[in-house]
Amino acid sequence: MTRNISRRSMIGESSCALLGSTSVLSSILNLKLMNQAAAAGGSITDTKTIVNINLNGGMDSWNLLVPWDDARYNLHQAARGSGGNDLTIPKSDLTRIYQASGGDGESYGIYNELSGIINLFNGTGFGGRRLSFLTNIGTLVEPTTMAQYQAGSVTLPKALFSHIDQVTQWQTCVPQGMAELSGYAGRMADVIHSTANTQATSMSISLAGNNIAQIGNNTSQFSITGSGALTLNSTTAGSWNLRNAKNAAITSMVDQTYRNLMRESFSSYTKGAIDSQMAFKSIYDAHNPNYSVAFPSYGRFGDELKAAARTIAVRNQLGLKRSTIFIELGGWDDHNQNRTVTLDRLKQVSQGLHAFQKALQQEGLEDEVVTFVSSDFGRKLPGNGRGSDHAWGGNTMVMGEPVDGGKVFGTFPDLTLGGDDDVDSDGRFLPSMPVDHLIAELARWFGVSATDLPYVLPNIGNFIVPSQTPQPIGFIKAGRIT
Amino acid sequence: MKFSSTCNMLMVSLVGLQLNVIASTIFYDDFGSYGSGSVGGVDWYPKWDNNDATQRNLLSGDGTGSYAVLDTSAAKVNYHCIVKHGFSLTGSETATISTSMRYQHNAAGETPRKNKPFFSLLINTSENWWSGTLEYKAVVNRGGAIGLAHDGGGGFWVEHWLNHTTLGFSGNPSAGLSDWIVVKSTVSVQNGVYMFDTDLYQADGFTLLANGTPQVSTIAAGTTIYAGITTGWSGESNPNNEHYEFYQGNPTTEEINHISAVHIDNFSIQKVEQEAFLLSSMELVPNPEQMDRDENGLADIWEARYTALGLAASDDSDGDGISNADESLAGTNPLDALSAFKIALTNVNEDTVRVGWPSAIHREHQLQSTASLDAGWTALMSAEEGSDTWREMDLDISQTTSAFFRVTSASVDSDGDGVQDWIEQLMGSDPAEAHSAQSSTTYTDPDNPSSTVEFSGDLSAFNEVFVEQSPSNIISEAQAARFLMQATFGPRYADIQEVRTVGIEGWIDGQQALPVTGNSLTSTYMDLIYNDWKSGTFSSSLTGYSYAGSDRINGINFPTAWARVALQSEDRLRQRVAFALSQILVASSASAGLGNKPIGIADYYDLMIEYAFGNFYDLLRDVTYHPIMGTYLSHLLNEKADPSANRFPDENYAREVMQLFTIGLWELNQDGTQKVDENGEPIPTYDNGDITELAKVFTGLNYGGADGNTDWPWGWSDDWQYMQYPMVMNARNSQGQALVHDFGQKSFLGLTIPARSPSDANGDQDITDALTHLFNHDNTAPFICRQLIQFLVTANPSPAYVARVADVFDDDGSGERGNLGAVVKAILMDDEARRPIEHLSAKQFGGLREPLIRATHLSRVQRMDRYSNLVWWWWTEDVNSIENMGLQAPMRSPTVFNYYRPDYRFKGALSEQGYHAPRFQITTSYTAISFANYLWKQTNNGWGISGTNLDFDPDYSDFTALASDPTALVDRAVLLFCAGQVGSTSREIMVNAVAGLSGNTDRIKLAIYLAMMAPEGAIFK
Repeated sequence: MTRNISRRSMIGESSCALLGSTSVLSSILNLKLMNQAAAAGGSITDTKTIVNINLNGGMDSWNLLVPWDDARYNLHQAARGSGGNDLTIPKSDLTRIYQASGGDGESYGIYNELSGIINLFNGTGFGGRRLSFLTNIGTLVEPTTMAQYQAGSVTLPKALFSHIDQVTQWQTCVPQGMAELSGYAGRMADVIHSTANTQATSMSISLAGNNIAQIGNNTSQFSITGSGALTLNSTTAGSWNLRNAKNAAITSMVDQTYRNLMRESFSSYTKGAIDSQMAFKSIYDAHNPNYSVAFPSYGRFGDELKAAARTIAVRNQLGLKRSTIFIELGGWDDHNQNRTVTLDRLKQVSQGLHAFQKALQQEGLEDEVVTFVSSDFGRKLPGNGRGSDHAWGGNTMVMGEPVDGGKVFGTFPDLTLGGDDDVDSDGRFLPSMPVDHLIAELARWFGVSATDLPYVLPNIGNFIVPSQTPQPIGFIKAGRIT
Repeated sequence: MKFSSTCNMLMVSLVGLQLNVIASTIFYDDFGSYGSGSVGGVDWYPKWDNNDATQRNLLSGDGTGSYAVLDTSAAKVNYHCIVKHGFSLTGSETATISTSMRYQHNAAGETPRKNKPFFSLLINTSENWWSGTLEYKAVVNRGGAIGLAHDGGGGFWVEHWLNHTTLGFSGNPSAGLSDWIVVKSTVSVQNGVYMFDTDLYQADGFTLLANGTPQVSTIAAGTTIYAGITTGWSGESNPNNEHYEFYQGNPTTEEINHISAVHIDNFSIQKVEQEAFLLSSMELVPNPEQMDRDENGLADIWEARYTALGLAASDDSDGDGISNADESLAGTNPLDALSAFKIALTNVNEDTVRVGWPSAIHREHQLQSTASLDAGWTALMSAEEGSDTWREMDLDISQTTSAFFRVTSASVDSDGDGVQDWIEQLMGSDPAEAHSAQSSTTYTDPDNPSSTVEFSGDLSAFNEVFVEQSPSNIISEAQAARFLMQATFGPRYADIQEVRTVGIEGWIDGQQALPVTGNSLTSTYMDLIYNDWKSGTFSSSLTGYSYAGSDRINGINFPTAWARVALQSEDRLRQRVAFALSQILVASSASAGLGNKPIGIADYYDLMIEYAFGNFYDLLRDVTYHPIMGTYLSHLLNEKADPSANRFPDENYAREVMQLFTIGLWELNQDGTQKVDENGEPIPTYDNGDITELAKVFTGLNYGGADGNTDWPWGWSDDWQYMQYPMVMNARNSQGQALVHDFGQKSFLGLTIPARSPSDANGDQDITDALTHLFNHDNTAPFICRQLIQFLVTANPSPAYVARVADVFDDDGSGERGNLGAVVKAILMDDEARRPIEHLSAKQFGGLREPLIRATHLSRVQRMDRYSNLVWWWWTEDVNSIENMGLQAPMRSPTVFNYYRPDYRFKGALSEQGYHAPRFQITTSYTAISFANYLWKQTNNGWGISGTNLDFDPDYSDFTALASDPTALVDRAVLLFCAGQVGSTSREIMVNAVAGLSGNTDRIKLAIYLAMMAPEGAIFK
């Protein structure tokens, strides 16, 4: 794979290479590299952030978006079972939602208690609809029909239905290979970071540790937690003298280069971390607003969303006109949880999305952020007695002021078991919308050129013409992609 | 340029001993028969005699019992003590005196009297107990507890005590008979006198009370001493003194009869003897450049420098016209045709020729000429140190008719320390400083003690780190430390000496021979606290497992159980392997509702401990049947398909048992590399059809339960009652009607399990057939072995290494497949693990040490194991816990894919070159700081749990003597945490930092912390 390197990015990279003793890695994180030659410039003047909330474990999204009309609801009920440990959401527990015109025209219900999602969809309290659904989305290498799937006549994603691999494929957008080392957000950074940003801070900010989505061929990610950044001074054990001696010695020791690659990697990574955490902390800690809405209190999810909002609010000071933020909420592998457990956890997501969007509104940044939800895969429609097993296509959500809200995009599958969309006649659905469609549209909104799009999404040419308009899904409002 | 391929070796006096420990029994009595007036026949002296008023028989029985019963009614009368014939110890000899005992506790009358002894082991200098010098340690009743005490002069000093409930009583206090316990005294010699130290164990060997103060006697070594027992006596003249527990009837004191019977069994005296074999001396290499341990005619370090181990000297591997042997002499790359020492001659004009040669760093070059090859050579320049460039020199030949030119090239040793500059650069020492890697060392020739040789520090470091010793030789401290980094959670200094003493193979064999006892198992602690909690009265010795508001044993208690076995158990190899296995056969309390099932979690983890050297099939079977796994991967209560309800068997376990526990996703060669099809694509091991078929096998499993209850306890999974008992095949549902195991035919991976008639046994047979098929799959050996190598030795083993170990998995030499003990030994004894040249050669060798291993190593160095009441827990949400600051905690993997994947690629040079770096997956720019801070806090404070009175401080007394010498202190820390492998820059930074502090404790903390945090300490290779 080759790509055109603009003069701007060449300058940025070569200056990094000259300055950094450890080349690529510290080029992303090391503040020392903030120099005039590599400073922001070029055509990008506005500020944008993509937030990816990953529900790790495979969220049972066929209970997130439920058909409302009797014919299709009955299929839902027939497939998900009834009586006892079934997965069907009783209709009395659903709130019907009404789409804006231009959606798929069908009627759907949402679990009653997901008021945050319902309000975002309807636009209640926001002055406009803020959330849409994408239906039957999943990993694909190329357009795939049921006949092609059954005949094995197209390339299929490797290790379908396997958690870790499907999580990885959502993030790499290269489902045909298991050894892909970079993800969509990292590759976006590869082509945008040096143009849009000062490079003082990584364009990829993770609240979920190392994830492949944000690693590029020339991009590493920066991890924080719900409590923000951390420095060597954050521990107060030992006397002042002792701590100072310790900090100075460590900082010197990790400034060496090593022949052994493990030692070299550890040393350069630690050095980059020390420098970048220090720089981030000073900026981040100075901005601590009191958000008027409550974030979810359970676990760390709420804190992480709040930290994401704070980070977005200070992104200009961090030197980031473009940034991606990755957040994860785990615990969705509901083989043996009944539907109530999944729905209870969805309430956290619902409250979290709502609070996050409210916080952005309070910060006055609503029109500069798009958030989307990903998960390993949809789950099987029929249960196994207590929960449901791994499958493929599923539903998800996109949120933000730039989003054309209040719609269901895509083609909701025929829920008939053994029907036209069921790959093995046991309730696993062949995705009708590739993940690439979602990422491509986000990337174009983000400012990735049609020329660079195949670098970000190596398979995109299988699905669309990169320069095409309209966008493959159309969930970004008209006129927002230039 | 001279090079001798013969290596010059010195023999020096680092003499090691290979020890076989042999216990010889001096006396043993199982009390299998005794009659009135005698004990066990003639050997006891004096015999107890009921008719002698001063020696009233304490024993009663009819001679058919299997243990002795002390007659406590007689004990009220007088002293009672028996001794056994004598033995003596000298030098460093050791003997043990032990007996099993139990006691009948009377709940009544607990409060008035405490600290009253009722049983002792003793040594006495006379065979008459009433005369001579006596040393004894007593078992003491102190009301709500029993303890160990010695006479501190002025009364008994109780050192440690245990709640009676720990010993099998239902309440505390309550009446009843205790469990059997073992009282064991060790008699040894220290500074010329006997030392006497007594501990208390459970019958299975688990330590109840230990680490008391040894009694240093005034009895000179060599004196004959007599071992014996005392029991309660009246102490009529002073009821506050002596063994008083049985006394009743003194009108001036309260009634004391808390202990109403004592049973004893298996009294033995054993002398522990050591049979010593001399290990040969360590071999030294005085000239590193000439080392050729594989005797292939090529310099070893040169081979390592170019990652070109084992070439043939006469070959020309890169085809540049220069043999490997000559490239070895010139220091050029044998695998790169452009790297060759060749001289070039061109005409510039008719008066000038230009001579060119590849100048090289760390080498000296000189251009010479001669008119005739028979004549001597004349230098045309001063010898100059080179750089990695093409060097040219123009020569005026106007006055010359003919001439020969040559360029010499010789390696440089700038600091004259005996290690050539290019080797110093490889090993990270300073070419300009002779003692940059460690201090100089004087070695002595064992055959001629007056003959010594002093090596510079850098030459010593070279020898200790990089010179391979043959198996019959003693190894250096650095190499012993390196081995212990692989085989244990990390060494203390004494551990290093132990390995040097017995040799690596002897140490492995010794470790593998250790029996699994209560000390080794995490469930031991869980049982203790469960019983304590259930008793309702909380033992002071178990303080800290529970907390306000707790109504049960909690998930947070498991880390204590884990820490206790990791730190306190002697079977350190087993514990390290178990931890690795727990990261392959992953179950976790972090999800699936297992957060508060620590008893089941401990029982599951104990499978890893029990089978660490056992058979992999047995482990796989027990894992499959374990209710923790059944819950985690949801095959517990999994039912066969009901198509009418659109319900199919849960596929979770079927998938992961293949993908993660046995065969993996891709067909593998024996060496762990992927097989490829005709298109060069990897070949999947299974497809979804295999999974749905295998899912049918894992149906019908139900809770086993403590009482064998096979009802359907839907949703009921009490930790104690159900989670520590294997699941059972329960082919029918609760009504005894519908079958829940699928007895139809199943086909997967080429195996067809036939339809079977419904029975529980046939259901189990399905599982046996399926697991056997997976166990015997060609992938299983390389898939499991490669991961074990990654955990113990290096993240990127060579394919040949994987294949050698996988071969042992296939057949341990006796025809057994899956022998993990043999696999572990093969991993640790393999050349790739043992030969130091390997880790110099392979730039990717080694890996990041796991957070838990680093923290546990630090804990061992801090001697945290000395706390018998050790407690270690945290709240799951605590951002300052190791779980959140290091992203690793025992049995807390976030997913079934472990904390990190074995094939994780870390961005940067490692992944660019195709190397795996599993542990880097939990290294983020946050944890890079947070875990450093976690270790700093532990270095300073040990384990403190805020809000409790549990505070376990470190003990750095091992380092006190070194603290005044920053260099020596740093070198010791570097030995322990970096296996002696440290670059001179890091060492200098550490020494300067330590020297800048004045307090000894601060210096010690800093030295240890910096060695641990240096890239040389964080990365193990």
